Amino acid sequence: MKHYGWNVRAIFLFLGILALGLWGCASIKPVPRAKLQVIPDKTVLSLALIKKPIQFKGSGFVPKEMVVMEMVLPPGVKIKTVNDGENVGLAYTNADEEGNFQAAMAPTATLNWFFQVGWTPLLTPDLKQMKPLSPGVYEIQAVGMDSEAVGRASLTILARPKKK
Amino acid sequence: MNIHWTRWVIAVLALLLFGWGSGTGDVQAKEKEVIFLALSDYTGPIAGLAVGADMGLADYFKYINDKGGVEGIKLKFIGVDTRYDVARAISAYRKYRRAPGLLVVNGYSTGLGKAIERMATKDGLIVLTPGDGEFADSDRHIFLWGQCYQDAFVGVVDWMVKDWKKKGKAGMPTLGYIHWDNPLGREPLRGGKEYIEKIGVKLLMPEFVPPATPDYTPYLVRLQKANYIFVGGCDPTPTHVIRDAHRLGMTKNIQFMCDYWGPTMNVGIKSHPEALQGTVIVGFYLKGTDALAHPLIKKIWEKYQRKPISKLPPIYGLGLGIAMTYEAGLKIALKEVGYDNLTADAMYQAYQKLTGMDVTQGIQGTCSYSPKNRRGSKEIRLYRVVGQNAVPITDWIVPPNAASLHFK
Repeated sequence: MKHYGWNVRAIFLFLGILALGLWGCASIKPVPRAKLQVIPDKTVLSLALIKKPIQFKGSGFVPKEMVVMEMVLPPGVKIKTVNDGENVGLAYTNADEEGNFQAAMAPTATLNWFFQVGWTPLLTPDLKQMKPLSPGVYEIQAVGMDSEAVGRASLTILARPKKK
Repeated sequence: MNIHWTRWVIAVLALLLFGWGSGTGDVQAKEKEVIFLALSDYTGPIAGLAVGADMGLADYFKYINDKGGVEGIKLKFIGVDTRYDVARAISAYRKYRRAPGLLVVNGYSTGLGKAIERMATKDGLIVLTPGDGEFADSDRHIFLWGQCYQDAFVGVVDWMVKDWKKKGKAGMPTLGYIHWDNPLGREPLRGGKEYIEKIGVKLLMPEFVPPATPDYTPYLVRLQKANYIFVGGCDPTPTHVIRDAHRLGMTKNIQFMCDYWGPTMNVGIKSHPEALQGTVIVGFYLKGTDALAHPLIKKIWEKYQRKPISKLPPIYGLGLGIAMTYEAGLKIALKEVGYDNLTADAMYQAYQKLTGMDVTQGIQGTCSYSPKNRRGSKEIRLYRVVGQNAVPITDWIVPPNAASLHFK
């Protein structure tokens, strides 16, 4: 009986595992391709965002499914009440018959997650406790709750222009 | 030296088996547990209420776990601080929806319950929500903490009519209504209005106010012809409405009545006792002096919070009630399917079998969950502000079904 070398056996084993992996992946349901647009995709943080909030437009989702917009926090960025590795929900809506959607951030979301305000016992935002997000590029994802389709885009928070 | 091919294969298989075996060993050794997810508010606008309820929930789970769990199964409480933001709550729901052992999700806003209902139904999960009447007489996956808002409202209206007659007044009283300008503020009237019309009470044009209104005078002035005024919103809103009414002299001739989240002993009654004297408050769980005197509430509060009972937060007892209902549902589910086959659907079926049981040791009325009823309990209780306390003025009573007048 012919004896094979150690390396040949290892290659056979690796190929076997790879084949099993590919077979497993083939049985997974395909996830639709989705798109996301953040409007505007660059902004200075100001309280004008309460009246004219950040909006989201997307396509490629399953008709009528709920879509949630989340901010993926870069390493080192902390948001009040959000644990490390967690995303922050910014907005939600249902896709239409064609799988398209439009959504906008609610005032509470803008206040809680962009400005990180406190709240008074009178149920009003406490702007004295405000800790606005630092300028930078933040990844935003729109996730279909049924399909798990993900559309990605970014939101750039610009530094406030210096007062002259 | 070359190892023989067959021996080599055996060695690899043994390694694989060892690896697999040790992996399952970890799972087997892991404690049996089930999860209760609270999409709550610990630092946002309604934190004053939600924190107390979740303290009650978490403490009761500790209490049960300290006694070995439910048939050896530990109860895990996961609380997410959503800051009363529905998008954040949905994102958190997405994160946990497939967590092994998750059976029930508690949402602290009516809007959240409505938003996640379709997904929760698909996931087989029960979602608990405060008191939206739309779900009250249904077979849906949204279960109410207690009685729905409209039924509690008409329970107060019935008390008002009795009080009016007891005072020897003829005809029917005129009712004013002031509540938040949001879905919560309109909810009691979705069925409540139909009931009022049916019994012939005159309702003045309802006043809907922003939650943080600094002065309620302009709204109250329009309600001066009322004999009774129903005030809604979470404390301190109702306290501040009645504070302003007191300043206007309206509390002398008008009886004020509040909904579930009305003045509490630690907040509104403490800050404005004089203005609030005589105010009637409805509850679907023990409040005020009742809550302070309940042996289990006292025992668990003192054991886990190590503070005097006088420091009890407003809705701690409700948290205990929700946790005890979870425990009772779990016991039924385990009896029916066992831990290995326990699913969210088994819990959903189990909750519907709690009908007529006193699962909360009297913290709430008897449980009303059934295949066609989503009320935690149909029973409510009325309280009155006396001195610095809220004292009971009725036993548990079952109000008329007003939700069915609106949702047909």
